[in-house]
Amino acid sequence: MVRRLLARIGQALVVLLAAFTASFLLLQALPADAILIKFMNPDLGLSPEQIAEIHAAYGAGMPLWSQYLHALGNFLTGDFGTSVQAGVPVRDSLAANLPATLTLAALGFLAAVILALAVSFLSNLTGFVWLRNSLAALPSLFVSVPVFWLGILLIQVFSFQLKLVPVIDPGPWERLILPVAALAVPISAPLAQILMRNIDAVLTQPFVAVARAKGASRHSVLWRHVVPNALLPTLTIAGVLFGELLAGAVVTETVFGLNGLGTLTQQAVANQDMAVLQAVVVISATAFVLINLAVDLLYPLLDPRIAEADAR
Amino acid sequence: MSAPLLAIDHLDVSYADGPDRRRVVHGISLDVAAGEVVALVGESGSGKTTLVQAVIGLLPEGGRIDGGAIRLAGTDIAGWSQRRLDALRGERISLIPQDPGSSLNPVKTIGAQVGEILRLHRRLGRAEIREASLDLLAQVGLSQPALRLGQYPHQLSGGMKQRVLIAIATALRPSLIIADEPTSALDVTVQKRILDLIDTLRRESGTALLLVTHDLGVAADRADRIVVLRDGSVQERGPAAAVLSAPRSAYTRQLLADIPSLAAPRLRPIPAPREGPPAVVVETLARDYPGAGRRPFRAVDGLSFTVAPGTTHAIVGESGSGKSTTIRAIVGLERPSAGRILVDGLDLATLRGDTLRAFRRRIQLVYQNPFSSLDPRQTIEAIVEEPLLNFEPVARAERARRVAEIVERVGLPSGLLRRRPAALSGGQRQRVAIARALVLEPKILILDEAVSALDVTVQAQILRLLDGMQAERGLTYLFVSHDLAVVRRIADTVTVLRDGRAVEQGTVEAVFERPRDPYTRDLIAAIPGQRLPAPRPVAAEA
Repeated sequence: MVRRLLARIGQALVVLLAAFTASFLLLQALPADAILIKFMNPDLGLSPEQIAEIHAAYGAGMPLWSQYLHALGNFLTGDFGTSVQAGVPVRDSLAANLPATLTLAALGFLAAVILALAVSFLSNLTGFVWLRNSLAALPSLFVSVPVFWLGILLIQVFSFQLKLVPVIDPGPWERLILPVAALAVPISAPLAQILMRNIDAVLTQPFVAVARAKGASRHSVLWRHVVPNALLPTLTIAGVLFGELLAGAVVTETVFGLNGLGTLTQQAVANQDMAVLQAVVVISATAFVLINLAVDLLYPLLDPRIAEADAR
Repeated sequence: MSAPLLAIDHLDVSYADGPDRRRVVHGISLDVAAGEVVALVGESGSGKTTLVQAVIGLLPEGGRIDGGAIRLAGTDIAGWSQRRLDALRGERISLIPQDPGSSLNPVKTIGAQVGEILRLHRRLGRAEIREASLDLLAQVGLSQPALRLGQYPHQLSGGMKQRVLIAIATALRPSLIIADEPTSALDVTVQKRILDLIDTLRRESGTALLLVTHDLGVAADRADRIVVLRDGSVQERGPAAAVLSAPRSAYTRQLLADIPSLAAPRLRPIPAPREGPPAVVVETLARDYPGAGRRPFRAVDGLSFTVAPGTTHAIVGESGSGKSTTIRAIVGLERPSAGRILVDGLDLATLRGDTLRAFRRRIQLVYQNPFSSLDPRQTIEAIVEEPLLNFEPVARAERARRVAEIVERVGLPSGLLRRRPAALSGGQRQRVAIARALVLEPKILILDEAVSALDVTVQAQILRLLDGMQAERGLTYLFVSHDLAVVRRIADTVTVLRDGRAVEQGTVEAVFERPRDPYTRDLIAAIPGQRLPAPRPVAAEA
């Protein structure tokens, strides 16, 4: 078990290194030059020699492999470099923006899970065929809704027409309601689809009939027997969907004018601020790897068959 | 006279089929008296499972009772809501399911699943439930009940799981147990012990049993009365002895004739051994797998046998006896850890690359389950044609000709060529699998439980087909089976495997009539249907 755990953590580290390397090479391969974008501004009146000096100060002239090792070493010690555009250490702008995005992502994910569970349970428990069918159709609708469109629609309806959520100077939590909703809907869709399909599949299993034959009610069988089995594959998908959550945060924060990792990324792309982009990629990869590691480690706790296979 | 325990009265059940409804139970009436064993016998599609699902109120989605009554001790429960039935299920009617492997929740402990029925119907504390569960597990003959409570289903064997399910079904001493093919997924010796256990527990508490089975042998051994179903209607009913010894309907007579029985003769006289070297020689074959500890697990241990060309050799054994490992080694899918295999005079270990590929067309496999061994997305024609594409190029027209020829030869209508497996019955699918194996004109056919999943009448047809193909083409068969009665019908020589070793070998006559090993004797004694009358020739077979 311990050996498997160590191997799994080792794998996660390899993935992180690969993400770092790939993003480093891709960002280097771009023809863009953040230093030129910032300092070529004629108002600054810098001579080409001075710009070359700045280049050298940022270490841009060094050979690629030495830049790579340098950057890798810095990342390992927690130094993410300096943002060319803002002129501040990337670590500081991350520290300022990460908590807001983490809150948004965590709430969005939570809301997505609740939405997915609600849709799939209701569609399985309701006795009305029309309600069941319309609930079952919801995920396909949700999955095809673009985040930016949904965000704008939510503001239009809830803020401007119904005036339920203030847009001007909202409280710290009020501010989050609509973005979380906009983020949760498209994430909940695949979750609900997988969950409904799994619930349907588990319901045909003989052990469900055996549980009913013991005299357990439909509700009780759904909770005690079906859901624990149907959740297992859903968990894997949930881990993968986390990546979508990060991508969704970029759009959501832009639409709702929130500060966070999303807006930071968007600005960094616009200014081709490589140091920030590199940090964002590595942070996202880390979050992604950690979530999936957690899912993997959670699995044996939920399914004794996997725990047994691990113990071997 | 008081009302019978269960009285089914002109029951109609149908399933939704697109916009229409398809009726699968047509006005069936039947009674079960208290403490009585009634066997519902029929082949797949006869409506026997639907009937008992209706009785316990658990018809699958789309199923509906259209008419008639189900009276339990005089009260009609056919129209009861699920909520009212919940109080009844487990307490007064319980179920022993077909497949113990999938009938226990894989993520819950045995203790939780046995305790559930007590929790649902009795007001008991935690400690009392544990106490009662321990008693129940001990009662069904499980060793170390305290250990079992904390175990998960995958840690138990099939027989042990069925014991757990019997413990659940008998927990509250219901007045009626419905057993839906309770042993068809189990090995024959386990089967007998499980049926004995159900019998004992049932007698102790005076519980009636509605036994659903496709196996007239099981019905003959266990039932007081037999009801024969076909296409959703009753064909014949009566006391077990009367139905078996003097069947009135032609269908029952056909069923009886098709049961593979030890007393039945071989399909045709043993062919004279052909000239030439043996078709298959296995010499001291051994195969190890990495085991739980340091010691490897030896699945096959020092197995030797020889098969003469044009004859059928059967390998008999229960699950875990090493049957599958042996045939995988013979077709070259696994390397033996020790020993030698000669097929058609070729040593498998010396074959590489092209010679190995050429070897593969001489030996073909037919698998057990005709429902999963065919690709559901391919047409029958594509399935049968596929092996031809794997070897030297054959022109399209020639391929079509060969496919049509073999499909016709195995007795399939040519109209099926464009259909997909879902449109075919189990027997037709197994014919497709046989056609696919024969299209390369192999010399040796390995039949891995090839008729085990089929109904007896279909089984008899497939056995006759195999026998005809052997006579016509001089094929050598390696027939792997757990069913000794089927082996008796088709094989010439037999190896009885247990724990990877051959406990007995010889001609079928010698092994079956004068078994020397106690294990072989156990296997033969465990075959259901020993109370069946000796088979008589039936007009249809002549």
